Amino acid sequence: MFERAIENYRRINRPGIPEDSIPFRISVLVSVLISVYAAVHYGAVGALMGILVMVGTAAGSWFSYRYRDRANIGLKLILSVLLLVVFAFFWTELGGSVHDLRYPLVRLFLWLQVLHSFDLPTRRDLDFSLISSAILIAFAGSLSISNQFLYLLVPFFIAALLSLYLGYHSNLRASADVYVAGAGKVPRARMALTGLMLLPLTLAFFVALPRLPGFNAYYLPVSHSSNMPYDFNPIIKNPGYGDMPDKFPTTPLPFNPDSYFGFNKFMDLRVRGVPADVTVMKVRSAQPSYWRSTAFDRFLGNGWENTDRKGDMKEIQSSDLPLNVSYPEEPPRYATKELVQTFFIQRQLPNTLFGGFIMRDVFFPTRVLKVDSLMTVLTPVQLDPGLIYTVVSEVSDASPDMLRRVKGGYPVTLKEKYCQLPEMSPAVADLARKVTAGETNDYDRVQAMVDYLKNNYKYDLNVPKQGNGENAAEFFLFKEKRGFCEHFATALAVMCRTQGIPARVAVGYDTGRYNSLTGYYEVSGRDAHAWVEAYFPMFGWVPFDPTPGWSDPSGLPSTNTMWSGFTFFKGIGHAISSVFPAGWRRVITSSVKSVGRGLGAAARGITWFTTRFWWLLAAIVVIVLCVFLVERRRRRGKPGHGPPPVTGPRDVAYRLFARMTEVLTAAGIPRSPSQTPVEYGDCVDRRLGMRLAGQAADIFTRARFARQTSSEDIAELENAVARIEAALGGNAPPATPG
Amino acid sequence: MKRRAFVVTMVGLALLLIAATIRSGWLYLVASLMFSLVVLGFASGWLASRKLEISRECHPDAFEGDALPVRLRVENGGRLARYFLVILDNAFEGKKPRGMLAAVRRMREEHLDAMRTGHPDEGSPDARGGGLRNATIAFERIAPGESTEAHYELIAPARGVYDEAKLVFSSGGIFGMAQFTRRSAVSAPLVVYPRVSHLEYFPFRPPASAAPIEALEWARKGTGLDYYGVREYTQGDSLKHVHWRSSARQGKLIVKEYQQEFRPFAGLVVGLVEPRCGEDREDSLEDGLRCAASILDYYAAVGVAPVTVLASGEEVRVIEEPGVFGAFDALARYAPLRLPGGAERLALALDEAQAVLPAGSALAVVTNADVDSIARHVAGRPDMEGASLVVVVDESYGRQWDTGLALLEVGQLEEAVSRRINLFVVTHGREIDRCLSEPLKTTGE
Repeated sequence: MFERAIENYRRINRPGIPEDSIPFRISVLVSVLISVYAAVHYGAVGALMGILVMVGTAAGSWFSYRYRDRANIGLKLILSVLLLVVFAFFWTELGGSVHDLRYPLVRLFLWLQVLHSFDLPTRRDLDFSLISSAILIAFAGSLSISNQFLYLLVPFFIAALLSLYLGYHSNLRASADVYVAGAGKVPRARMALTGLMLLPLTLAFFVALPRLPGFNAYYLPVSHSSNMPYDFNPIIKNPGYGDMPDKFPTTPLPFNPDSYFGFNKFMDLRVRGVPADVTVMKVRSAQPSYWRSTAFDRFLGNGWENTDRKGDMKEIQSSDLPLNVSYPEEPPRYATKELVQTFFIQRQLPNTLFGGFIMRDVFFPTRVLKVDSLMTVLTPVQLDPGLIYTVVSEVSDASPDMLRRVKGGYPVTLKEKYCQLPEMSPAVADLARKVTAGETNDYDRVQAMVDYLKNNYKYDLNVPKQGNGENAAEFFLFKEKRGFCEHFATALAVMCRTQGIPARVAVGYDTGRYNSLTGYYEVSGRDAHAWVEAYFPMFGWVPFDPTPGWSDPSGLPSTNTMWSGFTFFKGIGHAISSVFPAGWRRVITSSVKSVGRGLGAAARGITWFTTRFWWLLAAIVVIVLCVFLVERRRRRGKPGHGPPPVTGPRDVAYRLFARMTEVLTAAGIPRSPSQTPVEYGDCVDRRLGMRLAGQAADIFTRARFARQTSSEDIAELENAVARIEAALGGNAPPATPG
Repeated sequence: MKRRAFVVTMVGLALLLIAATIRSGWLYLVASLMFSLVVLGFASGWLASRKLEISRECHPDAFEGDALPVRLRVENGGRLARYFLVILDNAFEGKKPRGMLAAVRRMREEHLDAMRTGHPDEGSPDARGGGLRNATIAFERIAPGESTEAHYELIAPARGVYDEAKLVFSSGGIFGMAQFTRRSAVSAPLVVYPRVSHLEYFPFRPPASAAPIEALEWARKGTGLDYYGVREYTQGDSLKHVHWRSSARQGKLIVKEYQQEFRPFAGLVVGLVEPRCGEDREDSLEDGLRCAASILDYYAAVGVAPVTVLASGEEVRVIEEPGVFGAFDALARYAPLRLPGGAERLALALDEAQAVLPAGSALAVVTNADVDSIARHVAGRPDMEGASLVVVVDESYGRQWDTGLALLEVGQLEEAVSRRINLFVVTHGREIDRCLSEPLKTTGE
């Protein structure tokens, strides 16, 4: 019994048919090496370990080929043990990085690939290796935050397609009982054509696949850093502006294009300049939002100031992540929802966290943060390139109808602080009163002022500086009537304050441009922005943006991003249109935007229909499937309508020749037993002076022995026999006795 | 769906779920690439399987288990070359359970069988080179407007008449990611005769009179010893009779022919009832037909003109065609006698044989009826004196076949059959040629 069990075990584990095709093995190895390199390149393992991994993979592939026809039981045991070790390391790593599973997963697949490369005897193993390399390169792509991943993805897929072709070819040769080879050449043209056809199909899938928001659960990457100080001076340090004075500067701050002047204790409205168009950070977020940094409460006439001092700061401490942030003087809020964002810093930024307003849970490599009443979150160090942190924010989900129900009731201290204004002419207040005349609630008043500014003032970065003592709001509203976002925000905040609505100016970055390939919002220096936050009791601070041409931050969190794949066309459009002259660019851009709007509307319609009538769609799918199955079953059961069975050509030829012999025998030309059919036929032809009998004998002989008779031959034989019969019908010589 | 396509689709869906979780656009792209590979596989497979003319030719007749040469011709009527076209010639396989569950069940049965017997079943023999019930033919490339042929051999299936061959052709394009499959049936008439076991000897008594030789040349040579002449080789001729000099001179096989002697007649009566035991075409009916075919083959080999009387279905049919192939054809199409009343019809067949055969002709009877019916309707007949009676024991094909009971039954048979009859008993598990060469009872002549 035991011997039978061993024998049976050996039979079950006997080595399969080894794969001998070297080109197939090489193409799989190339695919695997590219995927391994991609994982190493994006930081899954260090450089030295990366070289070891790649050399190990190649060595394993050679070993697999060399010993492919052996059972290699010992090797399999060693690999099984190593696999357990790898999994143990994976679980250990997982425990330490619960919030970001990408690196442990990539490393796991990397080591699996290396170990598996030593055991690839059969074609199926090579197929598994190919599929796992596709998973590995996909995970490597998840670590990439730029479009340069395409330089790895394209060669990988070329190698993978070649592997698929070679594997399929090898599989057919091995598994088919009969293989009819072609010319032996690789169908390069067909492969290239098929590969090219993949592009539009892939694009269609990529664009059309819905970006479901519901799965964006707690994926919270954060970089590791061990050099964070425990305590720090809670002031904003802007790398472009060095040490700022304690008081508002008398002369305008010098403009630094690499750093936004608003990220300071003061916002000097006398500064002029165009920020550099360089990517400062990339943000992964379920929905777009403004990435807020800090705010200002005191208007000085030619600038804004954050009046919170060191003693007003609140310290947030935690030995473990996340750091749960609560703010001093924080008012209660209702109607909020969570938004998770991950920030990948590309350029050095000030030591304030950027995130959707307001930040609640912070995953930052530190144990301490400091926050102020203006909801600025200060970090111990400036944000350096390469830093990654995640923020879970509570963004406003209040609808306009909810906000319209608010009717005053502002806390006194809050009103004092956020309705503060310096000495200025009543013109701004008169204007605000005029604009908001007829509105019955504070929300509509604010909205009226926003609309007024958007519709009546122009965005212009080249507006001249105001005079030294000139009020920036009056300068903008009544003199220049043009300006940039700081002017618009200042004007709105001042107008709100004149109407008794608490308001403040917030600064940060706009949402940025969405890159549908990487899934990130790419924020540029030029996206630095200022907007207004107005206070509504029960709902807290609600953002408003009066600058024309910019999104409304209050509406952003509810933007449906399910079909954000279509933004891929936007990127393509930008790339294409940059080739053309400016005039053509406008036409192309507007045309493409129209098409995009149409597609967007169609997509929204589909979404609406699908969410409302999903049951109808499901029913249609089920009905179509049933009809298809029933029809297929019916077709298979149908008897064939082929021709009725006929006897083979051999029997027919035989009978015809026998008939011919009968006729000739009756006519006195019998066949001698020593004569072969062909000799008999020639003899008859000589006697009768025709060539029919020999022809008939040839066909008969072919039917009997060479088995190549076709219906044409049979017809010819029949014709020959009929003609012989006809020829002998009148003048038949007397039959000789047999 | 091919396994590869299924795996790739599942991996794509998994990547899609991960992409939705971690918001990675690259994962969406890789998942999209995987889905589009599968879709393209189906589409290119569908395109590759269009505008194809397929014809299948094979011999119109064969014996059970013989190699059956088949020629498959595919013509590409499209404008593009077709790559990797796979055709499964499933003419004789029939429906087999497929899928993972069936594979698991098969593995379990193999394992239990190996543990019970100690002899693991290594599976069916290597399919290439013969021994195929179905065949997979792969065409690497068929140029537009051209045709390609494949030649292969199948094993002729169980006795019967087959009208059409089921073909399944599929293509996965260049990459084989997913396959598009289409089923078709082509006309491929085939008559499969019962398997013949070549007998060294079977008793029959040559009659006093004989029929004169017919004018037609028969496929089988004369049975005499006197040299008659030469003729071309025909199927069935022994290679011992090849006239090598004439063959070398003429460039084709020439055989020596001997004087045809007067050909005796022999009768074969076949009366087989519906079997109650047995499965998968291994039952008393099929073995009975194989016995009949073997006896006919022996008759032909010794130059006897067979007269076959078949009691089948609702009729009794006499086959007097020259040569044995007419009788083989009738055996291939044979439908068993229905019970009750089958044995009476067998008696009618015997009457018919008596009417047709010249007096004194040898007679062989093949039946699988029960002992009582044989005793009542066959064994006691005066025309059975000197005849051979082949009884195929139906119960021996049952699962509960008990040796003790078998001996009892055979004993009853022995008693029922008179001493003047050569009695042969065929049971399940014994080769037919052995059964027919070891009579249970013999007349001694």
